[in-house]
Amino acid sequence: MTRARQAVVLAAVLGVIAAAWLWSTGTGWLTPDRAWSRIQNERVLRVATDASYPPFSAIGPDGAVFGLDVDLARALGERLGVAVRIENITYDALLQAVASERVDLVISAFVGDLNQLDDAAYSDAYFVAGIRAVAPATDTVELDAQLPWVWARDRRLGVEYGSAGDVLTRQWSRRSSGIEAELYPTAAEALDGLVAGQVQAALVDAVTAYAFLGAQDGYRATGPTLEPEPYVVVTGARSLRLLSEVNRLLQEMEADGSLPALRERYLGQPGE
Amino acid sequence: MEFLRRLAADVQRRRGWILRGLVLLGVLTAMPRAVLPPLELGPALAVATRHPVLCTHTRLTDEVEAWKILHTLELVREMGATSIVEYFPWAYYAPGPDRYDFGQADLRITFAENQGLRVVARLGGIVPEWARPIGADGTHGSDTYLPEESYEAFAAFVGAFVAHFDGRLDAIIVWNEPNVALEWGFRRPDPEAYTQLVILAAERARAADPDIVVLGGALAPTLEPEGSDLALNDLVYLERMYAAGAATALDGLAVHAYGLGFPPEEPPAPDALNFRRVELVREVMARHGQGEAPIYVTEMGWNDSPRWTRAVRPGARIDYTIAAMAWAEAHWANVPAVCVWAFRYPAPQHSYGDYFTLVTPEFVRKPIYDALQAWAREGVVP
Repeated sequence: MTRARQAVVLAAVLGVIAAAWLWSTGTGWLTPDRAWSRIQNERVLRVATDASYPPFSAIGPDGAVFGLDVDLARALGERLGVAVRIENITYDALLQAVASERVDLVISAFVGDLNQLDDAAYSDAYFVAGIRAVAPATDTVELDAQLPWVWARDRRLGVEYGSAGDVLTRQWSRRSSGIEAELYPTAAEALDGLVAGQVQAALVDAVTAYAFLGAQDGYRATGPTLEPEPYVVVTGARSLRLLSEVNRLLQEMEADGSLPALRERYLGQPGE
Repeated sequence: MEFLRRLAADVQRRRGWILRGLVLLGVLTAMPRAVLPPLELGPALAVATRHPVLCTHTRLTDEVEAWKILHTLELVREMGATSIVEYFPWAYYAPGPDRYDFGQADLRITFAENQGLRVVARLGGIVPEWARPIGADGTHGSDTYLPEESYEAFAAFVGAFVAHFDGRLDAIIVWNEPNVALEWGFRRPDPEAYTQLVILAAERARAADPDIVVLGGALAPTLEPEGSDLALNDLVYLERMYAAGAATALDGLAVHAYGLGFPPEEPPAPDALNFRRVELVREVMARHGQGEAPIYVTEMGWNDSPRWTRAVRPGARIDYTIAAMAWAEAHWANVPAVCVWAFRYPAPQHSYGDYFTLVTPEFVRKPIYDALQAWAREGVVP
């Protein structure tokens, strides 16, 4: 046997070993995507959502499930050319539903957890939740996420008592002197305080911030989203073909403006 | 064949290097992993509080690092809580039938004692694979699936746990929320089967320690009707437990009391889920001769997620939680502990669940922690 032929045989043996190893690890690289095959055969995309989280997923007065996540599911189904069946499932059972192949996708204001990769795979983010700093548009100093207290100590902040924004300002005040926060009973009242000139900026959750910015001229979100929480579409861990299709469609929707339009419709602003 | 002969000859020629490689691999494998030095505990401490009813459900089950376990418990003590509920899943401690390793549980109980905290141990939840038969789908199925043939094995675990901690536990809880399918192996809830499990577990626990307080697993407050595959109304479930003989096995009950969107004083009603639903549970107990038996409220609280439909504003959560504690002290007899769910998670859940906690995974104290501390230690009501 020539050396070249030996190399070919060795490569083949190693290939078989690698394939067996990949198979045994259950990564899904060599296993067929059963969810994708079923969607193609039955022409139905089954999507789970916990309808207790407006404006992403909630139950309307007519008893129907609605929200950004629901519309996103329908848009994905439309672009795949299949019908969409929405299942309202409690949050704690969502991952189990996709892992057990009861549904094909979870779209439910879901933040991916790297500890759950045995059961699930995550798409690119379609929205980033978290905390936004809102300031008058005339205030051009940008909040720096690395040193937010430097930005904060120059302005009196409005936060909702007990909220994540309140926790953040308490943390910043341990890093820097001069941090002053005015506590309000609600995030909406903190924003009212900003409009009334009682404070120079407000730290509120991103959804509340976008709703305010969509309705009120003269204000802007400054700096990046703080404590960011990217919302993703979830597939089963082995549904890599389906995941790839979802990512392709999300990119397509972002590029053609339909995903920003969907966010604007429910949030007041396209957001991130 | 020629290729294999050459390969064998190559191996023969290089056997010295191959042997050296194997020895090196063996040495590297056998080398001890880098470990942190063990924590040295200081003298035992005591909780300073004006409200000993204050308790919290810690969630140290998946906490790996000892210092984080200790620091969590330090913060619990500093808050003014006198006791904790902690979860000990069966699968974590039983690698095989009648084989136990309680090392991680020892750490938590010892640290809690050092901080002057009493421990209520919640046992069960995750069933080891060896106790779950392989189903038609070729898997062991849901990890909360406990087949009847494994009831004895679970009871043996309960007995071993109680024996191991020999008088150091305030009480034990048998299983958790068996009235929801999620906690019952995704089967329709079955109060009679659960009662059978409780009776076996209680027998083993008392054989190990006749003084142990055995509590029925807290039921999830729910209005799901008979016949639902998802859950069963907690009051109906409890009636059926007593009809099946649960009173003979139980010293008292663990109860979950979530306020959802209502203030703590909201009156109870069979068709309402609120904090005072505990009073309806007490009525069921009284009908079955357990009107004076202790109720441990092992999970309670409000959620302050900005989006979840069952949440309240963060300020309301603080007011409601403290008012609920005060309500329990003033109006409920034989309720030794009211435990806020949850003190801290080892890692963020990235969902509304994070808005139940008092301290973040990074040990940042939320304003509700400070308010509970001021109430417990100084009597300050916000």
